[in-house]
Amino acid sequence: MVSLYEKLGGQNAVDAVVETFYRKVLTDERVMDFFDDVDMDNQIVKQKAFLTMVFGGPVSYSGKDMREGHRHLVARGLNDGHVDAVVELLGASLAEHGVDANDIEQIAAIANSVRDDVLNRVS
Amino acid sequence: MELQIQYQEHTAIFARGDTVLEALERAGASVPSSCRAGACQHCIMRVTEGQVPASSQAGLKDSLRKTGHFLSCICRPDQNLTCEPAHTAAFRGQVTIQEIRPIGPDVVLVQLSRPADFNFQPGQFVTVQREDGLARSYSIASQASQDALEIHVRRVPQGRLSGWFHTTARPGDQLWMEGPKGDCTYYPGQPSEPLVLVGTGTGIAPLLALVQDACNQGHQGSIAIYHGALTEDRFYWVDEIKALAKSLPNIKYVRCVLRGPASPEVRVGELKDIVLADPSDPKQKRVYLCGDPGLVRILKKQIFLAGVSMSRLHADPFIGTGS
Repeated sequence: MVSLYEKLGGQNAVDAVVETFYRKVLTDERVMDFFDDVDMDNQIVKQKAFLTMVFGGPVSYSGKDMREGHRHLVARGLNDGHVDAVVELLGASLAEHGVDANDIEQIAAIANSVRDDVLNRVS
Repeated sequence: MELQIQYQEHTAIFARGDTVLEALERAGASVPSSCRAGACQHCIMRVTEGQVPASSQAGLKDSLRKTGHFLSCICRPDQNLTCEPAHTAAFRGQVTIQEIRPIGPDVVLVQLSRPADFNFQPGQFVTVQREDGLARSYSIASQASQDALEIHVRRVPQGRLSGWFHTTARPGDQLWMEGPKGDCTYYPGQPSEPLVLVGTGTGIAPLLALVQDACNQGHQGSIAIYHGALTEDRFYWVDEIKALAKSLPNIKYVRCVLRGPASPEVRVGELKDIVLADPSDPKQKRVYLCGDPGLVRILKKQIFLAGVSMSRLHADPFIGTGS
C-alpha cells in the first residue's frame, strides 16, 4: 500500500507545505508568541521533521523528544487550545496545497497522537 | 570492495549500502543523531574529501549543500570519504596585520595577510582573536582573487577590539583567525533571479564583495543595494558603490537614512519599510541582510512573511557595529 507520505509527494510535498505552515503560525495571534524568539532556520528544520512525521514519512519521534522539545513552552502556558490552533493551521496549509479533506483528517489524527507528549501529560 | 570513512580520529571501514552514520558508530565515533531518516538534521556533517550522493543533501539549504554538508543517516557513499563535524571552520591559524587606514566615519580598513590555504566566498566572515583571547567576527570585504584579506572595522563605543584596531594595532601585529563562515554568498546557477542586498553600517562591505562576485559570474537579473545609516554623514564608500552601479546596467543603489533631508539619491524613513517596498517578485528574489542585529532579525521575519523562501533568505547579524 502506498503511504500517505508517498501519495502526497514525499519530501517535495513537505518542502512545499512547510513554509506556508510556518507563515501561518508566525502570524496567528493564538500561537505566534511561542514562535517569536526562535532561530528561524532551526525552526523550519524542526517543522520539516514534524511534517514528515505527520505525513506518515520515515521519521519516528519518540515521546521523549516531543516532551523535551516543548517543556519550556508548557512552562510558558502552552495548552490544548494552542495545539488545536496549530492543527487547524496545518489543515489550512494542506488545503491550500490541494490535499483533500480525507487526507487532512488522517494527518490531523497523527498530529493529535503526540498531543499528550507535547503538553507533557500522562496519557 | 571495502570503503573507508575518515572522521576526526576515527577510521570506519564499511561496505556499500551502509550509511555513514552507522559505519561511524560501529567504529566508535560519537555523532549526534535523532530521527535517522534525513529529516531532523541532527547528524549533519561536512565532507572535505570525496563526493557524497546528492540524495544525502535532500532538504538542506543551498548554502549547506554548496559547502559540502550532508546528512550522515541517509548517506550511502560509493567512494572513500573524509568528513568533519558540521560548521567546523576550514581554516584556523595566524594572520598578520599588513595595513590599517581610515576609509570613512569611524571606519578603518584592516588588511590582513592571506594564508595560502585560506579559501572563501565573497560575503563570508571570519573570527579574529587578539593574543589575549578577545575575539570578534568581521566580514571579508575583499575579493577571492586578491592576495590579501580586507575587513572594515567601525569603532564601536566601548568596543574593545574595534577600539584597539583604531588606536593601538600596528602593521606586523599577529591575530588568530578562524573561518570562513556565513551563507551570505552568491548562488550561481540562477543568473536571472533578482538580488536584494540590505546593509547597515559596515554591513555594506561583504554585500559589495558579493555583488562584484555576482557580476564576475555573469549575473543577469536585477540587483538592488540598500544601504542604511542614521544620517547621511555616516555613509562611506559611496563613490565606490556608485561607480560599480554605473558600470553595470542592472544595479540599483539606494541609500536610506532615518533622519535628514531627502534627495534624489537618499531616501528618508525606516529602512525596513523601504526594503519591504522593494518591487521585485518575492517568489523569485534572493535577499541578503547584513548589519544591525535588531533590524536583521525583524527584516528576516517580515521578508519571509512577504513570501520569500527561507532557502533564499541569508542573514548575518553584526554584533555591535552601530549604524
